[in-house]
Amino acid sequence: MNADSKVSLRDAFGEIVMQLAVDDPRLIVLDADLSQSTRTAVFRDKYPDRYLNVGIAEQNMVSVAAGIALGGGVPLVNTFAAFLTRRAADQIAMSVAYPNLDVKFFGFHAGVNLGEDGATQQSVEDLGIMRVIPGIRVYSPCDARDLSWSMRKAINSHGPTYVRLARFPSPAVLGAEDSTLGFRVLRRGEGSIVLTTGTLASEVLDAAEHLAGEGVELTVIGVRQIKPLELELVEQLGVRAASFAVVEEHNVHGGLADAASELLDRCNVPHRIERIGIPDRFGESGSPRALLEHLGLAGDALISRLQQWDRSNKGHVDVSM
Amino acid sequence: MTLDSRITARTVEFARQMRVDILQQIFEAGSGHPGGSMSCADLLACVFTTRIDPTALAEERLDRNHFIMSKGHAAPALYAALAGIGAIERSELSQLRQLGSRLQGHPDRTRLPAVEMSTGSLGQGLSVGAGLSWQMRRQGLSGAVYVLIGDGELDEGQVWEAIALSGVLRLDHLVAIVDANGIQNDGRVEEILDLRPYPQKFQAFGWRVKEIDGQDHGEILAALEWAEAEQPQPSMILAHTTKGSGVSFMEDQPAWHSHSLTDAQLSTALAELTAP
Repeated sequence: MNADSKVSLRDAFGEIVMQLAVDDPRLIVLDADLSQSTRTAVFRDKYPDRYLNVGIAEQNMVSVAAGIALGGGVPLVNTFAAFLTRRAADQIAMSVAYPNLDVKFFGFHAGVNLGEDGATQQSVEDLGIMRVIPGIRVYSPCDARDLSWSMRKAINSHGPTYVRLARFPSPAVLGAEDSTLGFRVLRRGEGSIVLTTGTLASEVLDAAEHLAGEGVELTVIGVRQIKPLELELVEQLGVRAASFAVVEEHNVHGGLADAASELLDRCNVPHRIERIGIPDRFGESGSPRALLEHLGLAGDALISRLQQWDRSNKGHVDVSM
Repeated sequence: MTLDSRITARTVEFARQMRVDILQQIFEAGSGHPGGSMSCADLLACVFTTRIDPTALAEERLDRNHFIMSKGHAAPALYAALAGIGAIERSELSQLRQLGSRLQGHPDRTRLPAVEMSTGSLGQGLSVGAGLSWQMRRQGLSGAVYVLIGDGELDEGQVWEAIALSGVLRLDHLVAIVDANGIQNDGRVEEILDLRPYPQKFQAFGWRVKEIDGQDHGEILAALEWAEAEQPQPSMILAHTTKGSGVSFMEDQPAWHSHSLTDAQLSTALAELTAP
């Protein structure tokens, strides 16, 4: 993939599934009447006997996938993040996670990607729902290369996984630095640390570049593996005390900020987190871009919030250290 | 004695022992669901003695018959059947619902590998059976998938999603057995959510349906054979049963859906079940 061009994660998903399916005949693809959105048509046409569209019945799809896993298959379950994680939460927990079956979930158009459609199609809580179900590994790739990494991690080890995907083309954010870890340092600055996840990472990097012009050099870390968070992340955030911002297209409850806080608590690291997310409310209609800016998660609004926080954080860090 | 009657004598004795084991498990645990466990004892006795290979359970082998207990609250019946075919020791039955036990209140395949699927949240087992059956057919594997569901469980919308999909996919090796004992947690099925008549509804979704007396072993064994006929459809055995079947004071009593027994009740019940 060309690092300069923008790629939507769903298009990348369709391509990666085809790459993986050639060598892994266990892979089965399931849809619930959203196959145009999930980009599975190429797979369906090439492997019709490994493809099943169950209709608009997400709960059934999840339990059917459990049965396919019992029969030795590795089903990839695809639909909008909202319909998967809200509607079929019990099936995910009881048909798949509790019996520890090898089912891979993919939540499309997560966050407020489906802007104009409004709150019913948006998911501001999927990371939280999937994170609290025991035994599920959770991924939230920042770009297409992260998605490829996440899908290979998900499929190459047994057990349920959830991968959160975005709708719109986004630029590659990885640069040259490669890593086997579930997070990457996307930008290294002398100043405050910003943790982010998903395709919002490119917005955060844009904001960081803008602030660099004003003398604020942020470090930006993109987290692609939300659960489990790795201990190595603590070394980045601070082993004695940590103060950082988390920018996420998710409810401020239940997502990356909470996951990071839990990790630091386990490591006995005192911390303060500036939570720049969706403030415990549902989404609404509007263009995705306008909605993100309205929520303070993109453009000038994000720049302004990061700038304000950076100023106060400098004082805070001096005190806590 | 004909072959059929010899088989029936074996399954009847198997079911009698299952009922003893069910009541002793629930008595020792101090809680559980005797009514719906007793109603399906004859169905499980016939399936497990004639269709399930105890040596193949919990193996990686997939080309065999499978059984999914969708009405997971009848776990004592499943454990009694597994003990009956030797998949677990009968002595382990006393561990039902105890901390650390493999015999969870509702079946857990990760603790007890002879259990094919963890169940308990109602309405999901038929979907699982449909997925397993579809996957087996894709791979050209022989064997049927039997799914036991309750008539109260038919309230769950997901059951109907599974019925619809299985009919459309013509899953001809999928056999749903409805334990129609007529009673659910809050009372009689027809007083809670009356979904009768069942056969026409299943047939409209592309299923073959056979109605039987679910306590009559001759009828159950004949229905299992009927389900194996080469027809491009899934099969539904609608088994009319009696809640608490086998113990006079439990039969058709909603109170015995979820209830333990006193010493005296257990003695009376066991006396009935062991009377010559």
